[in-house]
Amino acid sequence: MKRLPIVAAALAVGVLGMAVPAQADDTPSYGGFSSEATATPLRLEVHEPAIPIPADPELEFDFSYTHVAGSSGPSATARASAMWPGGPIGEGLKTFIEQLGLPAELGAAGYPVQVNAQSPGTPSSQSQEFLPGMIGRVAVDDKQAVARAGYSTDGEVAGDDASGGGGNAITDLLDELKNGNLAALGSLLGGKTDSDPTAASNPLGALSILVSVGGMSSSSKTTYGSDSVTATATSQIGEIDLIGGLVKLEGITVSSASTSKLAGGTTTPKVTYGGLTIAGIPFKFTSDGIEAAGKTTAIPSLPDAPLKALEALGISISLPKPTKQVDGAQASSSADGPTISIDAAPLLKLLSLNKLPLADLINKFPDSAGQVKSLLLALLDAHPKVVLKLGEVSSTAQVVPSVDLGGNPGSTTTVPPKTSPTIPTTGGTGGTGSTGTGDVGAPTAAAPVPAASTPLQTTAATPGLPGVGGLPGALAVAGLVLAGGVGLWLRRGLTSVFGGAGACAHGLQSGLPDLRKV
Amino acid sequence: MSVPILEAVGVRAAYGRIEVLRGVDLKIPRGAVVALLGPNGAGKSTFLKVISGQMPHTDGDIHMAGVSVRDARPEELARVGLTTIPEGRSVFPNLSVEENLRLMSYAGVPEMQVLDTAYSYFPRLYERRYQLAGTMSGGEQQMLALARALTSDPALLLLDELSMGLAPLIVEELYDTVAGIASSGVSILVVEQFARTALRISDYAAVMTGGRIVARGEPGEIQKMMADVMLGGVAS
Repeated sequence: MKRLPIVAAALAVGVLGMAVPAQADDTPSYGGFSSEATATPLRLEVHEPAIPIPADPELEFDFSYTHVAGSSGPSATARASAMWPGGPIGEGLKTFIEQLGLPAELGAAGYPVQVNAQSPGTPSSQSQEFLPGMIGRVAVDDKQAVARAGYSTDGEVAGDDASGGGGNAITDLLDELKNGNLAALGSLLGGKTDSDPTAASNPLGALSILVSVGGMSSSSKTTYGSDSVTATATSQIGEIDLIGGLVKLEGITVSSASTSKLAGGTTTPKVTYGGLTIAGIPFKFTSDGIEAAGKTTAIPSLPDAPLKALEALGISISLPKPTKQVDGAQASSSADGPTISIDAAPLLKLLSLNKLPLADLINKFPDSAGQVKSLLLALLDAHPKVVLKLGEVSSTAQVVPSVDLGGNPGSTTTVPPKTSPTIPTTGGTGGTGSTGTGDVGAPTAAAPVPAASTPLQTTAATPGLPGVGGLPGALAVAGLVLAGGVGLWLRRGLTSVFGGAGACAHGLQSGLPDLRKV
Repeated sequence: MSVPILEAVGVRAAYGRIEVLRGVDLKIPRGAVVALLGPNGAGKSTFLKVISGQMPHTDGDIHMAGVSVRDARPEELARVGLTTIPEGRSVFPNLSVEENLRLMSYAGVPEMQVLDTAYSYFPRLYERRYQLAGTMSGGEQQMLALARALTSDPALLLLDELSMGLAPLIVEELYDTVAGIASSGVSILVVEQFARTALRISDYAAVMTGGRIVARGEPGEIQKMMADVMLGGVAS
């Protein structure tokens, strides 16, 4: 039974405190760690309760998604995906296929567009070309876990579609909006333009009218060194045109880096914009502020007319502030790029879907596909809210001190002293000196060494009340005993009178029943 | 009617200012298997944490075998027969299967008895006894987590998302084992997001959404209404 406290302590610390150094000569200064990094340069969230997925948001698509996680051991996992649909679908595709009554073969192999690596275990590295030009790579070993993914949604590299959505079309659009003609933007969003932005194969489909994205990539990495653990997540987008080119951004990098040491953690989230043009006005800025003409200023609001036009169409744009948290050795941060929120109700009116005989078409589905049929009928009335994040990253790292598995069950952790203990520089007392109290000066060769028979003079280590003795002390002890006795008597009396009402609002005794014997 | 082994009455709990459990009432009869179902974020795992003493509740009472266990610590509840298998399995990845099991002997059960119990329920673990737990498949790791729990001689077993990330065939196999455990008299509360398999072995079921129990009954009844609850009312 003496081992019980040790086991309890080890379990309490859990995975964090379970470090067993793989090699004696590579022992980290910390006992255990946990780290995690996630990055996606383009995240699409769909909030619509009619979608039959028990998650919030109901649908999510993380393009060029990467994720790594490491913990004591070390053990680590890494994942990269061209398009990750979130945990509920990515992990449980087969179950969803079954629940929807679709052929089970569709989900037999799980979600296919992903590569994974783990350590210990196999595979320790993997790569896949999900689509032509779209690469995902993951690699994990006992020092680090790395995941990288990248591609272009429009099949073109960043920078070569500079004319897309810009030029006279935007000037004309702004003029129309300033004159109060909301129909101009509505026509654009409804797809009634001379040039069709969706002509190219594009995973965003019709949404590319609102968002056109050039090359994008992300990387997530965690490394565990001898005295620190680091997690970094970075997402990059080459070029983005929003709302038909009304807002144009070049080179958004969203990053988060967290480092944990026993002495403390540090974390740095940041959003960097290579270039930005709002309504034709160019700016350069980071998440700390806009740098224009040598000054850092707040981001200007959009011109009134376009802003009102966007609101009328259910569209809003925000630039979220990065968040970070440092608590002792634990460090974590997250950052989001520009976020576009789209309430679909006004847009659906523009698209005039209700004029199409979709319900009649769906009702012609066979009864065997009843689940799908009812789902599609429900979706006809859906008004989803779509949130687009142009970069979302997060990282967290934490190290903990070693678990003391020695012979002192009362001590569960070994916390390093804040100041290094003073080490005697001369032989002097030969082992009789202070042992690690740190603040006690070590005896020097010139210092007088007390004789072995000298009686030790004790002094109070900390200020406080003097000891209570004699009659006052006896009275105090007697008072405490009496108070305890009265308390017990009252408790028993109340329990017998009120049936244990003092213990539980439902009249039951408090305690710990042995569930194996009752 | 016998006293239920677990009874939650109006249990409320919160993470900071966000209330997650909003008055949960649930009974688990002695020796029964109860499935607690519901969508992601409904509060199921939080409820398990509250029952097992890992998280304080802000209101309501929890009774075990007719005794209020308010403020009981997790290790105290574990000693009297409450065993939790958390989501994500939490086996020690860099210890072998046998070392993972041997850890349970430090709680007082003889090592041979621990290994005998584990290997008799899961012969596959015997084949893998020298393999690092982290290198096993997800299903085998879940078997190890189940075996580790069983060696503590549980009277009330709390299972959180047994099927998480596992292939359906493995899930079926694991639930067959859970049914076997239940037949030995162990009371079991199964928390699951996906209903079908859990309902197959359950005596009763309840559905939780938004921090409340919104439906309870026999598995057949719950199976019929799951489409409404899980699919947001579109499949009726």
